[in-house]
Amino acid sequence: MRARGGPVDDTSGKGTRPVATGERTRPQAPDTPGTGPDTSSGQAAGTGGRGRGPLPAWVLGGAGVVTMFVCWDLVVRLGVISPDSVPPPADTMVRLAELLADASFLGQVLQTLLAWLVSMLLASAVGVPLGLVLGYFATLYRPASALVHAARSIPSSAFLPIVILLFGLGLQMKVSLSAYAVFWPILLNAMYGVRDAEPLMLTAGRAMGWGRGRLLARIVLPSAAPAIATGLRVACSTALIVVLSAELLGATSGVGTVITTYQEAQRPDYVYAGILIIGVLGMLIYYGVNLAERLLVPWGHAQRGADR
Amino acid sequence: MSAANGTGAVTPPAAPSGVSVAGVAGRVLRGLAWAGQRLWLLAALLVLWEVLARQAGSLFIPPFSTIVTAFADTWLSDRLVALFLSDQFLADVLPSLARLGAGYGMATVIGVCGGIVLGVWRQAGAFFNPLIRLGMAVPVTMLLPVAIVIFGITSGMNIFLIALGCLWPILVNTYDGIRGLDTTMTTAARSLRLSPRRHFLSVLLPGASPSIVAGMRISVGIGLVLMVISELFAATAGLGFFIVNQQKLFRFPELWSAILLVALLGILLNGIFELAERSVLRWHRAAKAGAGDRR
Repeated sequence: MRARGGPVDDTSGKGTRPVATGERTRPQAPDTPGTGPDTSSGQAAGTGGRGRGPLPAWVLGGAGVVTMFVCWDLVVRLGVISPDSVPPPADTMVRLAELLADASFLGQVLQTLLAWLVSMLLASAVGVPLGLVLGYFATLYRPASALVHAARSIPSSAFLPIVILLFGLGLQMKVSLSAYAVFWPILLNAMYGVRDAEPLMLTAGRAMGWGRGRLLARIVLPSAAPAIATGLRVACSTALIVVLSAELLGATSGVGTVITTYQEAQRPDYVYAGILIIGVLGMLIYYGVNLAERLLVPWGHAQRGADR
Repeated sequence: MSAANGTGAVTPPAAPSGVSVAGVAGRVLRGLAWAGQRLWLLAALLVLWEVLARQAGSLFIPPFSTIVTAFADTWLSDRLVALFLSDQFLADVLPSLARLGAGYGMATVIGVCGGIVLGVWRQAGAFFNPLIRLGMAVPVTMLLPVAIVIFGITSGMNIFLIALGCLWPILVNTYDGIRGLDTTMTTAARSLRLSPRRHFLSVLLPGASPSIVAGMRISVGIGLVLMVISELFAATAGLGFFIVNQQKLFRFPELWSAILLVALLGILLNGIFELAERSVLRWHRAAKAGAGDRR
């Protein structure tokens, strides 16, 4: 059921987007029997002439990947694009294997991941508590949300030259730029999460004579957790993008610098192999974070499903 | 930006009276109070910046007032013909905006059409799913070196990157919107035997539009980021190009003024989008409210 959904699961992609608008309007993939494969069997027969019911999604997906490689190969072989700019897929795969066996390349990958991790930890260590506070006190919420919306609209990349001047080309520069970029979505989602706490439950808690601490721990935090998780999930993809961009535009370590080096050495096969590896890395992070979210805040998904 | 508004918060709204002038004044005061309530924190932070930067005297981070002066000198002029914008503005901001518009427009057309096709035709959706996943996972900025080889240092390179980056959220959101349509609605539409055209125009498109608009909105921010990054990397004109140049010339107030301009552009685009979203999707909110939405 899950596999056939296509890219349903998430709209957040790479955006630094708050939960408020997109997440609410996003429909959840219905897991009712109505969407079962039987509804589309006629089309399956029509498309491939295979006739015997629908193909499972992974077969079609695999076919898609194979088709892409064949098209890629054909484009290069027929000379539509010169092999100097786009290498044939077979070469790229060989280079990919070489890179994966190369210890120094893996070291650079670790450098990138380190910057990613530190910036995430930094931004969430500050952003989540601050967001909880700003969301909890109504007098702070309005001016803070105006400020956050303004700051969020500034593309972090514009700060790159300044950050390089301030922090040099090392880890510090990557971390500070990336932490700045992901700080806002994390903060904003934490703020929204607290604001979304059910007023009725808060009143009930107060009626039972709960103190502030208990209200926070029992009602506010659990109801804010799904939004916080959404913020962190969005931030994970964004942080990776920002770290890699910083590496491309001037850093001394990381995958991005390796790729620019190969680019300057006119080795497009290595460049493409590196890009593929990063893509797979991005996918791993994406699915890992999604899984963690589902395990840690299972009520978040249930709630969103019920929202519809 | 808002120091003046900060004072408005304490002014009480004028007492209502029969005279319309008083009514207007009251509305103005209320507007000031509204802005003051929201903007005092921003104003306070800017004042803090000014004070700290003056004390530190850092070359890299000038006081905010210096940046504002540089902003006025660099981007504004006193000529009405040019809408009070300077030649620098026309030379650098217009190319950037043109690239952003072209890339974003292409992404919207391709994303919405592709998303609808993939959403309606399930086999195609499953076929392209892994590829879309991979495409989304590759940070678009990593394609900068490749795009430069293919396109050279041209506007086409910038447009390609902006379009590619904006494409994924729009595509996936459109797909989601079509896929997530209420099954009762689609079944009802089928039992009404609507023509394909009617089905598309009055069921699929309206049903998916909130999701499509959400995707388009995310993409505006992404497009702006990519516009700046791709121009920082390689361009012959544009805001990112200007920023790099000022950095090389050690003209930091001008550099910051460009950052301020990018920030204002971002806020402006977001604001425009919010307004558009509100007016385009008014029926959606009304329908949700009518359906007894708990929120």
